[in-house]
Amino acid sequence: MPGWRILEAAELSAAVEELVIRASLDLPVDVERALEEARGREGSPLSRYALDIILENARLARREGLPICQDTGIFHLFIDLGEGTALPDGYREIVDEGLRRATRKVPLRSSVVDDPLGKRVDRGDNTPARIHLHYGAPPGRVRLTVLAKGGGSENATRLFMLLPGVGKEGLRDVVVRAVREKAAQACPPVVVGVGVGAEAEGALGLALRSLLRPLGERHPRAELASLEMSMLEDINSTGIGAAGLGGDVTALDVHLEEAPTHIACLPVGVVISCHALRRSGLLL
Amino acid sequence: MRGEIRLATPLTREKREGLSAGDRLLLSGRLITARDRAHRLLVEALDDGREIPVKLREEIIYYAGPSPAPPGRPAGSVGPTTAARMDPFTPRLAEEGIAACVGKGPRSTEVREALREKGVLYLVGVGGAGALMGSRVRSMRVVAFPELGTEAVYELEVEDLPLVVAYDLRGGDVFAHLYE
Repeated sequence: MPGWRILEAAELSAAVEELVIRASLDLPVDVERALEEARGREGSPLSRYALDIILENARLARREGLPICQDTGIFHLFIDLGEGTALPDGYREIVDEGLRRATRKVPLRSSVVDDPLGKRVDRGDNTPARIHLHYGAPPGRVRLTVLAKGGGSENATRLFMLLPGVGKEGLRDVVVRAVREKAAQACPPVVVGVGVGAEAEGALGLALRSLLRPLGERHPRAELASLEMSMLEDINSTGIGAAGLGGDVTALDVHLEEAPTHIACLPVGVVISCHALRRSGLLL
Repeated sequence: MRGEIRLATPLTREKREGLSAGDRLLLSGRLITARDRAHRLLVEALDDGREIPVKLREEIIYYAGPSPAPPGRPAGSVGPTTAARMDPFTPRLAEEGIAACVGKGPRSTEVREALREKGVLYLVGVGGAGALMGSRVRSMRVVAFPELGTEAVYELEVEDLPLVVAYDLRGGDVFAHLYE
């Protein structure tokens, strides 16, 4: 196909290797800044102490090349293709090769097991990466984004199939309840991703992807931006605090994304990230 | 809030009684890791009357699965995992005379009561601070269930591991605000 750009296998696996390492060791600037702001406004001494440890941990991980958290997580890879670009044959195996090399190099903990209902045998290399394929990069370019998601916060995930008429109040109630019930075990201060609409799988996918948005950036629609802000306020008034030790900052941010849904449905996915929101990206 | 308290293992009954929920510790000495699968194996062996491959009396059980040590370092990242997943097994280990357990997050009322009854402390680390906590590990070696990989039982020698007393021996609970 003349004019088409097909990514080289070596370029793809090298990019994945680099992104997995960077996500695991180097906390994004926006997350670190949000933690510093949280430290500044936290009123509880014990929660301030926890935030000091979290910030010192991020700096030490970056300096010493240690994983930010021993639970280096499940690795999500978001691939956004631009017009006129394509992935090479066998791209899944190529991506996994990059992940495998990063796991050996750092080294990362191997946290992925086969046979989940039975022997739960460690796969040894954190594969397979969870690949999410979308379009939307500039023409001729491919955007890769890695998100490392630990098990503790993953266990706090919720899906609600609400009655369509409950509106914003109904949404707010279930989101705040989900955080109140689960955040203490999900390494707060957390980041809350909320997906509204689509169907069950789509709502959870929107919630997951919303974690890629920089902290502090609001939804472009004013109505949804103010809903994000008011949910953040409600979550912080629960008093759970950093590490669950009681305090003013339980969440660093709330991100909401929406999509068209069925006339009978109002799906709501809630995906929670721990304070170590580990992501990295590049444009090929 | 009291200043940080430096403590060395073993955490004798006398040392444990002097601590209150909310106290910050810098703990030095020996800990033994065990996560979900090691707990299951230990409790199954105890219930069957079989010998277990580790000593539990007066030991501190750390709910953690380390990341591998990079070359030239004693350990990788070693932070606490969610303690509530160990709740089904903890009362049985408390009967064996452990001194303390270390994890993150609140636990069931039954476990809190069982720990208090047996004089066992529950300490918490800051979840997600694995690099910092790993940097306080001086040595790490597998002592049981090597086939479990990161879920094996490791013996750790630590220096100044930062922890908070979550449940003290008098019913004090740093997570009390969560149940209001």
